[in-house]
Amino acid sequence: MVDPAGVNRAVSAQAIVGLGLTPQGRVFDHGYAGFAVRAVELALADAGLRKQDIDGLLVNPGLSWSNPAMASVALQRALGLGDLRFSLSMNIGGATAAAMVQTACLAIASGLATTVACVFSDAPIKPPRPGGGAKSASPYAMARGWDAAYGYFGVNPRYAMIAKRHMHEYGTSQDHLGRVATIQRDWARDNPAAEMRDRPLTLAEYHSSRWIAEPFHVYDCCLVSNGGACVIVTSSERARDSARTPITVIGFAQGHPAGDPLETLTTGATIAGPAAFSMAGISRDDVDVAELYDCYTFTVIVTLEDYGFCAKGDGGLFVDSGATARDGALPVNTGGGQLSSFYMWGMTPLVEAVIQLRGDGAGRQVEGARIALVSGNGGILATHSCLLLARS
Amino acid sequence: MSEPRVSRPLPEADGRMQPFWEAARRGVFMLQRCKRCDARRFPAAECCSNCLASDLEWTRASGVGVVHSFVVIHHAVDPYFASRTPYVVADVKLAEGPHITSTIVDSAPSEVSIGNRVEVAFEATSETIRLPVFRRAV
Repeated sequence: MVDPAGVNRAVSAQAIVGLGLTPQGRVFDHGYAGFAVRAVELALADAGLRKQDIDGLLVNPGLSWSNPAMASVALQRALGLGDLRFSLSMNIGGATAAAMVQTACLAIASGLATTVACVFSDAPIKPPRPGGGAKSASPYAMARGWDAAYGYFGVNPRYAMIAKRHMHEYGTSQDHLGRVATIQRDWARDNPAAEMRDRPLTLAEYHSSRWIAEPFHVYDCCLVSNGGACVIVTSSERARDSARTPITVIGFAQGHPAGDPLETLTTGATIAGPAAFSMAGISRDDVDVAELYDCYTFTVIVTLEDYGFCAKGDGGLFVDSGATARDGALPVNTGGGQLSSFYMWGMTPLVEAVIQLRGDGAGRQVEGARIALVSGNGGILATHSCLLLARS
Repeated sequence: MSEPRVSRPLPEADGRMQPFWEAARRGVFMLQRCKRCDARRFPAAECCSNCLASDLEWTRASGVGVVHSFVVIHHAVDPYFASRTPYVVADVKLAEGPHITSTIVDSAPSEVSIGNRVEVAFEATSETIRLPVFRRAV
């Protein structure tokens, strides 16, 4: 068990001072490297920093990166950065973004670095060719071996398989999945960066949309996006001079559960949640806004349960009650999430949390949002990371 | 550019799984067993994840289980499966404990339910591969 007291407070007393988000979706003006460079440039400008101020670089390479093992080295070169004191390419799937912020905090607290850029980018969608539409995402197919013999390809049916069992075990309904999709679509309408902002979705339209892997309709599945995102983390002391309101990291943890998720129907939030709240010295009732990793509608339901926002098995009922919607008790995925805004893996919930805590949410701003929970999830409910962020 | 493949994508019948496929050709369903701690596993692993032993063997299994969960695939990019939608992919929990990914034959997708008792059958899919599938037990 982690020491809940002094050491952790020191480690977690760093702040996010810069945010960079490139155009998202079917945008083709850059490859993965260009999107990464642009995201860092935007984050530096946002923070009022110069690239010389960066002495640590953490990169989560998306699937289109050609040499993901050396991603942070490639980006250091592409950005023309000087000597770095800390550099890592990181990958625990969708849990990486929050893990990068955690790692940045650890590095800063231990004196390895002072100002760390955390970067994700990807360009899996190929530009449209004459006579044909834009071609998406063969890297997401993952066909191989045993499973391919049964037509079990990619990630969609694996989450659908767990969702189906959850529906059997707990009475989660197709309506419940649909409510996650429609509520997040409603949040997206006031997010200028959301790909689906002009595409309202009713529950009837959800039910009549095409199946991908039943019980998942197309609107149960996240988008696929080209783009880049960056946050810059520095010490709270340095953050006092920041151009923007610093967003303090008050707690964090990871949890990577053992066992088969088809048996446990559980995420690592059961492990990471209590540890992060303990580090921050707050309870879940203190959370004003939750930005939860939403590769699928079902992931939101199971994550809400595992943080204890409702009883195990009641995630669908909780969403159906309207709790996560505008004017709900716990606004969730207030930018539309990966289902309705853009798919930058764990950066999507992190970016929206920073926007909300800065008070920059405009039409979707949650009034008085002071504390945000950010979750990341990777693999088939295999990895989980949690951040608790506060407006300083 | 080569012509699109229309045959079923199949695993190689060599390596760690070779004894499994040899038995399958005789209509025998096997699971890997750890000789040190007796844990059963599927698919095959190099080491036992329970006791970490490397001394693993193949042992005959009952071939019966229950449908633990399933999905109905309506969209497939693979040319073999694209023309066969909708089809079922099932997670079968075997009587010995391990789960196996497979499909349910001789039943329409609408006839498959979680909890169905199923038993293994083998489909001759190539010269070397007879693929285990499951049929609802009567």
